[in-house]
Amino acid sequence: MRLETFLLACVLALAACTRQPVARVVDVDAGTPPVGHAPDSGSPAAVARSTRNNLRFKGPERLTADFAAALDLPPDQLCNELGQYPCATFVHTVTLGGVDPYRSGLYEPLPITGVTTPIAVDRLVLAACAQRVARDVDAPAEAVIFRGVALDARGRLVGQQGQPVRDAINILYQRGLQRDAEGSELDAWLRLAADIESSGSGRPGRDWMTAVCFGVLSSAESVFF
Amino acid sequence: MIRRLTLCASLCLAGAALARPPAAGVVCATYPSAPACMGQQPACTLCHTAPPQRNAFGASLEAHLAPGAPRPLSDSDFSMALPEALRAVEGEDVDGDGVTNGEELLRGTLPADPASVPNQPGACAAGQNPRYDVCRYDLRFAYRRVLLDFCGKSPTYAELKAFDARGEEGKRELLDAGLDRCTASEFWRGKDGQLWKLAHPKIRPVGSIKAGEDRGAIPLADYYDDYALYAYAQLDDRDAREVMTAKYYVRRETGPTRYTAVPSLPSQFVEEGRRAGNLTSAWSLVSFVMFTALPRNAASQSYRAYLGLDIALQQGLYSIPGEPRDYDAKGVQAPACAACHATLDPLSYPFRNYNGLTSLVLARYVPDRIERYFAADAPDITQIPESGFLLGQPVGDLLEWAQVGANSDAFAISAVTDYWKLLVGHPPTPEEHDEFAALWQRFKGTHRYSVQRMLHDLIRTEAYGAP
Repeated sequence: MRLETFLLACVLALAACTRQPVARVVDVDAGTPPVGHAPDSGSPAAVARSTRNNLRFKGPERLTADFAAALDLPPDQLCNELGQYPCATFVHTVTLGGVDPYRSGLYEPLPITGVTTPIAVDRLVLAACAQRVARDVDAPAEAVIFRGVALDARGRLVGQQGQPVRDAINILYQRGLQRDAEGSELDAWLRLAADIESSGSGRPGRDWMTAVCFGVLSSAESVFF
Repeated sequence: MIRRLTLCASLCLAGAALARPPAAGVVCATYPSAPACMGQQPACTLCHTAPPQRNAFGASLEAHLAPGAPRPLSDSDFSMALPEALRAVEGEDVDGDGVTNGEELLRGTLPADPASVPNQPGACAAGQNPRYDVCRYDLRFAYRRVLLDFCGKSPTYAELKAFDARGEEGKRELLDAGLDRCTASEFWRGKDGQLWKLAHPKIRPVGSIKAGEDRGAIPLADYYDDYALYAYAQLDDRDAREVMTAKYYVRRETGPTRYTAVPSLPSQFVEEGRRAGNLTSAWSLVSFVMFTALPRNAASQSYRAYLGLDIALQQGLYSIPGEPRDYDAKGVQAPACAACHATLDPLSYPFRNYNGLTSLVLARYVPDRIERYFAADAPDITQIPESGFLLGQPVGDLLEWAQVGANSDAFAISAVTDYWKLLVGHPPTPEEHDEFAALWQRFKGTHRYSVQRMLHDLIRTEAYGAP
């Protein structure tokens, strides 16, 4: 395994483990609400939480449609195992909450998401984000997300704190989550750029683009509704 | 006084024409406002694990049921004693979940199941939430859900901005417009779309024996016709009951998907005068009747699919006196079998002349089917009548079976439950019962069985639109 690939995997794994501001707001997996419906004391802004606990997982078709729209990719090219078997609508359909009525007699979705569901979501998002990043870097004039984000000769972001980088994050939020990024979210992603550069990655700019795309689109806010 | 009159009426009816097992009717006469009694009856599992074995609640009732009287109690004595026994255990908590039996009955949870407890309705949480109104119906949240549920994709950033810029009335208009636009989408009505997903457990397709498009290795019948009729009946203000009663078939065309009623299809064989929607489709007859003389599987699947009553789960049991007669000598009069077969067998008689795979008359109505193909199977088998019973009511044949079923509360409850589960994400909870009951009653009444109108109503419920 190449060093940068290993580092990217580590960064993504850590990003998935870290509590993000977005996750605190929706907090779908937080279990029983506090007694007396007190505000979430773990949240810096004491965000009032839902008492209904009724978020729904998007499932294979909606995830495909939303990721394809967010990244401006053809739905059938979003993610294909071995380059030919669609991840969401064929290989991982049941894992992602779909059905398989004609071949397996699975007429209704499983009532809960399985332990492999997050892995399948990660697989789908990572494949899609990798494609988007490659296209944006290879054809910057037609970039969809990382418009105007330049890389230097060592593959680092030019102007790590600059406006094009901030704009790219905001575009990602608008296309993926249908809202603007908050200041704290922008700061967190900008810090990640510095962290990746200091990790010794051989192509830190691309790795950061992939990581921020992956982080936003695989967030609870993105995959539940 | 009214309750006593209701109880008396239920007992008299139980002993006369309806001939229902008295327990469920007496429970509902005692607790007429119980959610389990709104347009339906409690399942046997309220008191039993599998009749006659009782669960903890049933066992606690037994101790108070005409103590000292010789067993077995007659139906009449049982019915007279049950209300007092129910009252006697109201204050107990047999499953130890902290909620008394009486409160569980009135709030729609199961007194013998510690995992079934009423929740407190969602109270407003303290603190602020800049993105969601977590206290009540949130129009923006509902708008996102409508587009995701019916179009299969989130609104765009620009669409949400435009939504935010509107006043409350304008936002409600966008909700309705979004619903109407998206129910025309392939995601909703197309092949393998949301309507097809609702139909999967009703049709129970098997790819290996499919005929026609996407044919399998042993093509026997084309279930895409069943999906087409189901989808047709759900769309464009049509009467949803026609999935059970249609005399027509439905042709599906693609690019975009269109459904058209037609008088015949080359893949369907039942004559028009004997058709009852998807109950008599070639696929239903081939896969549910198959080679059987008395098509119990076809009857129980129709009961489950369109009326939401699963006999295997002891739902919808209406024992008919003198049943089961065991015409086909299967031993169903054994006590362990009779509890369900007293309902199931008379439910199945109206299917007697609908042929599945026997002989070469595939999926057709054959007037003397039993006599022709099964006469040697059992001494009394040709005595199977074409008349039977559905929901305790006598029906002359399958056409009447379908009419009675389609007009029943059970049909409306089942149809609305399907959409509730799809769109709210779970079956109606005890806390959602009032909204749910009002919705299925309006589906029968003001919506005149139009799914489209019912959906406009559903997306306005708190259960759907409160985050």
